[in-house]
Amino acid sequence: MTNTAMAAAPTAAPRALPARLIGVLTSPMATFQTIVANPRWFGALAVTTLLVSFFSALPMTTEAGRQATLDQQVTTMKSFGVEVTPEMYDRMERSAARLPYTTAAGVIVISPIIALIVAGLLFAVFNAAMGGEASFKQVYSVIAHAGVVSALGALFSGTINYFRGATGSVANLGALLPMLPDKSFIGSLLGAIDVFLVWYIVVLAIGLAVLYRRRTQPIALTLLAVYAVIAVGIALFKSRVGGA
Amino acid sequence: MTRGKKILIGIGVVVILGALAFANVKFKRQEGTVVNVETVQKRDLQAIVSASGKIQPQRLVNISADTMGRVTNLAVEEGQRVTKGEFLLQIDPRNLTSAVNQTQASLAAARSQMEQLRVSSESNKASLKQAQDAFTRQQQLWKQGLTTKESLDNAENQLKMRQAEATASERQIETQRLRMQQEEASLDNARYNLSKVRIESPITGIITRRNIEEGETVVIGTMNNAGTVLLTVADMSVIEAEVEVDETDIPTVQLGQKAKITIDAMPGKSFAGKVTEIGNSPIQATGTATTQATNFKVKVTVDAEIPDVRPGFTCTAEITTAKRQAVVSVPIQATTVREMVVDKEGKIVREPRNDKRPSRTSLQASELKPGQERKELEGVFVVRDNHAEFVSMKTGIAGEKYFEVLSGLKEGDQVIVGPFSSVRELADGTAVKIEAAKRSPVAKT
Repeated sequence: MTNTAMAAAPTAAPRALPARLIGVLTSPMATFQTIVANPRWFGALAVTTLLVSFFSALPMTTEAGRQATLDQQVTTMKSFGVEVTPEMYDRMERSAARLPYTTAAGVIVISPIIALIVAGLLFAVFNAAMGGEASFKQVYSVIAHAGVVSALGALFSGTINYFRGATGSVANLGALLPMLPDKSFIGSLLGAIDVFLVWYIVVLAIGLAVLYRRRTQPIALTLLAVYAVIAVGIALFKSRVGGA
Repeated sequence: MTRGKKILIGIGVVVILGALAFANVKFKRQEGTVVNVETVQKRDLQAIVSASGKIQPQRLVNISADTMGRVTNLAVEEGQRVTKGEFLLQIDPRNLTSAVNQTQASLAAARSQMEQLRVSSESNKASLKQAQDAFTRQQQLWKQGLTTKESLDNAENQLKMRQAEATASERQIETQRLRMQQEEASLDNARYNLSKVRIESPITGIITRRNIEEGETVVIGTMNNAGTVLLTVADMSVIEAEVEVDETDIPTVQLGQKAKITIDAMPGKSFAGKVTEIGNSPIQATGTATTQATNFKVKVTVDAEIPDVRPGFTCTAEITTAKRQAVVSVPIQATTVREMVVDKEGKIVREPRNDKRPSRTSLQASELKPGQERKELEGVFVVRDNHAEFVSMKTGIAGEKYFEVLSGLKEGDQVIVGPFSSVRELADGTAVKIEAAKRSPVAKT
């Protein structure tokens, strides 16, 4: 195990964008070595953001998908104690036709910002707290390329939701056990564990390990532990509020 | 990483994603309000009107004094059984005995006076006869010219005087006879008054109340004055439950209907009876009129004797006002009222099903189509296709837990019975999830 926080040397040859995106899925370590050596973030971020944007909006192009989104919004508002009146519902229903566009636009605006925030947090942790020497551009490039897993998840969820006329996550483990009460702790916990998010964390951990020349396992376990804590918190909240 | 390892990971990812895709398409998680349901089925129903009141004997006699005086002999205790004619108590008879004796003496004096008058009358009759004969003789002599006019007139005057005396004597005898009748009546009255100082039981029963002690002075009883009642004798062989029935129930109560009576003081026991009397006027409320319910008195006669029962025991009568055999029935707690939009024919107009749409409670008249109107309907929520569907229904009699269904529901329908908040707040078309443990079996009848 090495404890050095040296940034990776720019030795690997640069790859084209499609090769990098596919490489993140098929051979992430080798691909991230290339990315770290030649940090380019815009193309990956743009492609993944557009893909996520498209597949997030895809289910809302159907009537059933819009209705499901509307239902989801009502449920969320109720969970925060907002009483939805018939008049409010009518207004929401009228604006539902614009949902594909507003959703797509929202993803395009929000995704880079979220990537920026995550990159900032990781940069702060690894550089400032742990003495790493990677540049912010390198960190942002790793995150932008790891986003291809998110794009794949959006493709998976968006396609299934499009055909079944629904919305929300379909890649969580709760989907495999539909007999569990959704407001129970176990049901909520499994529902909070998204397969693509786990995959994303593992890929991100590989990227960070390559970037900071550290072992992948501790970084992955740490990030997964943070995710697990958040998932347990969500499950506890849902099971308490749901009264299961 | 070896190529084989990569292939294995790839296969694993595909399998997981395939399983997730299959699970999402195949198993759609059922959402909605968790409810308990009960299956509509045929049952035997009894409509029961329940009312509480007091146990009373059918015959109850309050004994008061007809005469004033001190009680010299009290022969009974409270709770003692007595037979008809049995001696109960004696009021001091001395005054009344004296009155009898006095009246008897007066009667005897009147009888003696009567005898004197009769003797006097006989004497008068003899004098009258003598005067009659003398007058007749004077008339014959006058015709022959053998007597004077003066003698004839004297004889005639004597006759008239004797006739007047005889008539007066008869009148005196008649007056005396009437006086004797009066004395005899007074004697009867005095004897009757004397008889009333000895009080006997008018019925066979139990002394349920004794308000007097030996040596106390009784006063003459007056109506509606409980204070003048000396003893109460109750015939406990026939017991009645006198209950107060609410005005809304009274139309269904009829003479002869069977009832089950329970007495608070006799837990675990019930007694059969029949309705024998139904009040036509409401019971007068003693409190403020606005807070009092309007009740009617109903008497239920118990079929058999109840040993050890006492008048005044609190009781409850459950009167069976109607019976139905094998009728479609629905739990009472499932019934509710909703304002629904109905068409010209009275059929419910349902909005397109939407689980999340808040229920509309105040549709404007302009939002209704021609012929439609909002109407408050009584009905139940039936689970159909995992949604609560409000079904209007007509009910018949109400049993203890179930309503008879006249129309609107059929056997096998699953109606939502709880939780109470769900029945109260559900809207037509709301998604529901039947609580597994409470799912009731489908009726076989």
